[in-house]
Amino acid sequence: MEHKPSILVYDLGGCEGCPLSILRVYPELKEIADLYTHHLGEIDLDKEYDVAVITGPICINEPEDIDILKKIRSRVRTLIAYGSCASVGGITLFCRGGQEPRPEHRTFQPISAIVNVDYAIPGCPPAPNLFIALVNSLRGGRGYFLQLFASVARAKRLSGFDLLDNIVLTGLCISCGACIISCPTNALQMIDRKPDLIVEKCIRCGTCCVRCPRFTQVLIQKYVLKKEVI
Amino acid sequence: MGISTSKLVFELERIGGEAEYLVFIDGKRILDAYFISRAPVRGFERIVRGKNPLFVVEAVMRICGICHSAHGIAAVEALEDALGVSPPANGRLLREILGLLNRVQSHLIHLILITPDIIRKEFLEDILIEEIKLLNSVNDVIARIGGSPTHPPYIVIGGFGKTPSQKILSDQLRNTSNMLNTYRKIMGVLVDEDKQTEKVEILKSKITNIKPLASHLFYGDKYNINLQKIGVVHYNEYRGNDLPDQVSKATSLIALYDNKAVEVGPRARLTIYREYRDNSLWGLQYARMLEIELSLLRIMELLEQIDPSEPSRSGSIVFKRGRGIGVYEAPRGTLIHTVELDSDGRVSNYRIIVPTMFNIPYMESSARNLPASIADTIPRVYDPCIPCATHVVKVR
Repeated sequence: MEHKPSILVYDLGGCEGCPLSILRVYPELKEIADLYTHHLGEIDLDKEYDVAVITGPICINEPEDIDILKKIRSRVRTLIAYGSCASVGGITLFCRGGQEPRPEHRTFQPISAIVNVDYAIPGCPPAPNLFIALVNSLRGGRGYFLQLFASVARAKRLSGFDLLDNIVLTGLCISCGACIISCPTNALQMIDRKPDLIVEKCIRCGTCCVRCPRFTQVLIQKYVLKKEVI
Repeated sequence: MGISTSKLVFELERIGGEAEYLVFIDGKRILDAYFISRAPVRGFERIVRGKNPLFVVEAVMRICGICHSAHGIAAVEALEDALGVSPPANGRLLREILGLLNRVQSHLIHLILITPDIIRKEFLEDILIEEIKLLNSVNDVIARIGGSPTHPPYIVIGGFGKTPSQKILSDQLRNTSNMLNTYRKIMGVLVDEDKQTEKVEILKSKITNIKPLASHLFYGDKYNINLQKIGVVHYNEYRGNDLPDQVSKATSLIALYDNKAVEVGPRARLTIYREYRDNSLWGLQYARMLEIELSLLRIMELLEQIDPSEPSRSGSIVFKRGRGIGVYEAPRGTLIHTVELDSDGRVSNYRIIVPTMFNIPYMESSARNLPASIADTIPRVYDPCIPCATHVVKVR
């Protein structure tokens, strides 16, 4: 992708924190891409874009949203799930429906439950600089972030519990503390040089998993290089 | 409606969330309007049932990526009320600072969204970039004080998660003062009639007879409003029968005070607590712009009152049975969280009433008789927040 890619940002009913975090880097982003977002106006879903960035989860009980998501997928070359809800479900995995005025809205999933996702960036919201880094990698056609975020798109579900199960309890943890600094709810604490999860504060955003130097290697090995690990 | 009536549907852009504005016009004038939010209902009041209060604070902050801290503060106020906890002075001051920073952040986001309506095209790009840069400065201050620019984790039950050091406090005081100067320059451009669009003239000409509701100028006080008078109804109960088909898709509810529509938000606060008098649609936008300045001044005042050697969080919190109410003045107006905890201290009932639910009736009625050409601007002036408005239970 040597030319300036056109990027559509579309929110499927999340909290709006993710699309707004992309808007924050608009001054830098407009130098490397043409941005089309609801927040700047004039988006057209019938047009074709190089890249679509979806924020927010997909509500399985809302056929109109599913149609919109499929339509966007069919019209773009690269689909990116941005933020925890779109990429791994996040807080919306806890939804159980039953609430007025639309009690039938029961199940929310990451968008990879419905369409193929090329790259998924978890975070609540992700640091928008990660997005700039990914766009640059996309233009160059290579880079660490392409591998990492492609593996997250295939993993589909990541949380503090996965970090414990795969890294801490298996003894792979190197006690670097990156997970603790990255956690947006302060749900991780270091006890005796081992990360410990305050389970009631984990919102299943997956940020710790993509910041862990060991877990990222596991993800890439398992989902991109298709090697057998742990 | 007569034969010459036609219907226009606007997919609203440049607002917080997904919504349609359905407008009936007779020739060129608007006869009636319907504001229909479409975002799916994630149902946070249901999500938090059976959960520990620590989870509640993190969860409800994620109702909205624009007024996250407002939801966080209303939640901790409600939970503290239920548990009988009262935060130390530093905790209360830091919470007010963070809430006001969130108000400035939210008003600036709205300003970015509405500037294309206010400022002529040739001046637009420059001012938008200036606004985004200022928003980034506010985000930095929120990150330093609250721990993150969105959904700040230092809003905790019993006070505030971390007392900033003296260096952080003085740095942020300087940054806030710089932001105030930058903002005054931006505001100078926004009110410059030579740069404004003709839409501003129309907004200035439309006077609505509003009834304001607010509980506090800067924070929120549950004793200043009568919670018994608040009623929440389904959209079609409020608008009556014979509604257009699209309305069945609505995912929002309407809140009334004493069975009547009330306006909440910046103008209501300034009308009640600062003798602000401008009932035009532009008056609402101007009140929001004034509030940014007022909030920055108040933040500077509060930053100087914090004592870094004192604690910010109450030491003893016991989770137990209780009921509590938290009322907070969110950027868009009065926000109410109510909670009931069972004997294990887990949530048995949670209810949220958000400002956009109060404002929807005015978003519709103030469009009447205005030219159809500015239809989509009218709800935008009210700064609706769809992620919030779709997450409410019916209370009576």
